[in-house]
Amino acid sequence: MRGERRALADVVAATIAVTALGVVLEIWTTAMRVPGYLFPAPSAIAARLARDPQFFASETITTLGEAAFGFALGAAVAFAAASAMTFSRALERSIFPLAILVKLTPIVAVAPLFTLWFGFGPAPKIAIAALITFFPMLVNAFVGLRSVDPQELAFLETLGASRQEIFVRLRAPSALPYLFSAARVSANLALIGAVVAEWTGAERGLGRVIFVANANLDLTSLFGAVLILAAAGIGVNALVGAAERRVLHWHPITLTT
Amino acid sequence: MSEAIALESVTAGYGRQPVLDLVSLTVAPGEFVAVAGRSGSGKTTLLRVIAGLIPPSTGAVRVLGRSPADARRAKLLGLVAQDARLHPWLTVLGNVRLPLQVNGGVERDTGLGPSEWLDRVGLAGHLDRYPHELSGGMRQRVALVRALVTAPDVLLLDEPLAALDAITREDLRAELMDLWSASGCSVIHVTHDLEEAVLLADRVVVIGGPTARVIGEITVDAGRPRPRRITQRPELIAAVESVRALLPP
Repeated sequence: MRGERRALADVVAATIAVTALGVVLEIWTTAMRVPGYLFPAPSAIAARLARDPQFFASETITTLGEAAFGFALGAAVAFAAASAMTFSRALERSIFPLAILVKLTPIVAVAPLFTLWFGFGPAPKIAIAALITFFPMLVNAFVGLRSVDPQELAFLETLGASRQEIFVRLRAPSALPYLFSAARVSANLALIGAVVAEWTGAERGLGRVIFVANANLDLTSLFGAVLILAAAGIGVNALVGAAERRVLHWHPITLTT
Repeated sequence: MSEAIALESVTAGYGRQPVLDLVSLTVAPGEFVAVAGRSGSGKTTLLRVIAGLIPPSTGAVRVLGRSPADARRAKLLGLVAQDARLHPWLTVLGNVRLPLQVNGGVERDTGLGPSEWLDRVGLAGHLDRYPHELSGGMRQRVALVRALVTAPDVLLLDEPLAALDAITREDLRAELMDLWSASGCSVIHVTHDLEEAVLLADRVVVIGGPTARVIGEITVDAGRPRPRRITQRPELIAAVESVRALLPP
């Protein structure tokens, strides 16, 4: 498959770039004798990760889980809201200002509040990830649900299709490309949201690892967690891309790349 | 109920801007009427009014003796648009099944099934293909078939062949003629192609003007079956010239 070969080429290119950067940093930190509490050598970070793989794996799973649940929740609520807005102008007028309010509220301000309300467990992290996912999904879903081919719409209307039938048969599939564009942005934002939420109080997760490591000047753990986070971000992107190519096999996005 | 379609002094448009001005028009059951006019002369609006998608501001529209909304609910109408993109996420077969699936409360005896229809237009080998894998001509064949699969009494054609190359257009005209004569439905075919109007129709109604009015009509006395090109029959050439003479400058 062309898509798979391209994905492989992407991985190879990324690996070469990251390795090159690692080699440069390794030479720099060794040659200049940069102290480990300012910038640890890549080899030290790798050693730290290798010493405790289970620890990092389980923290990663915690954060990814929170992000995934939050993303799913935010996307579902956003799609439901966008659908309601498609059916009623009054709802459109009342939901959009609320959505902008949500959008303009700084996550850093809300995160401690959510921890206060929902405790130190996964709930506040899921809520933050959902919140951060919500707006891009809402806007794109709303635009997508309206971006229907007018000729196809006239065709279905002429057949006496109901608004519900037109929604399911035409609007929802037409919105898919827009939803995937939003998902590409939101999926990574959800990950960041979960990490930020963990900073404000958590028992588990990569954000917690970063927070504690930072407090202890344990820079190898800190950089290790950041590296894993970056890898997770790339993985999430690849996942969304693969799902997009699969679902939108009929769309110019897939056909022309 | 003697008319399939009857428009009486219909004025209609978008917002306050009228597009159609006191248009009166009738189509008999089984008749093929072409509405010819320049681009932007209100032909698509006319079809939308007949389908009840735009309410007339004055005048009355009846389709088989009913209101357009009732006719739609009873699935009496079929529509083929120019350059139909179909539903790109559905296969050819899925696209042709779709009209049978929506508005499912209506039970109609539709005769042929979706794959039999596709077989008739030579697409039997392409049932599982997606619209983007088809040529423009094949897509329009699917669009024709999906409009006919519900066995409509009235077929609305909105320049369905305009986006095709000349040779494919000739092929599809012939197929359209065959499908229409087999189905016995009434057709309103709007087009800016005067030769196509004359080749296909029993009667050509010319509309035009700043807000569209009916300028006149020509009955095409040429019998059927019709030839592929108008140059094959002098009376068809004469009819095209009469239609052209009616068009406003």
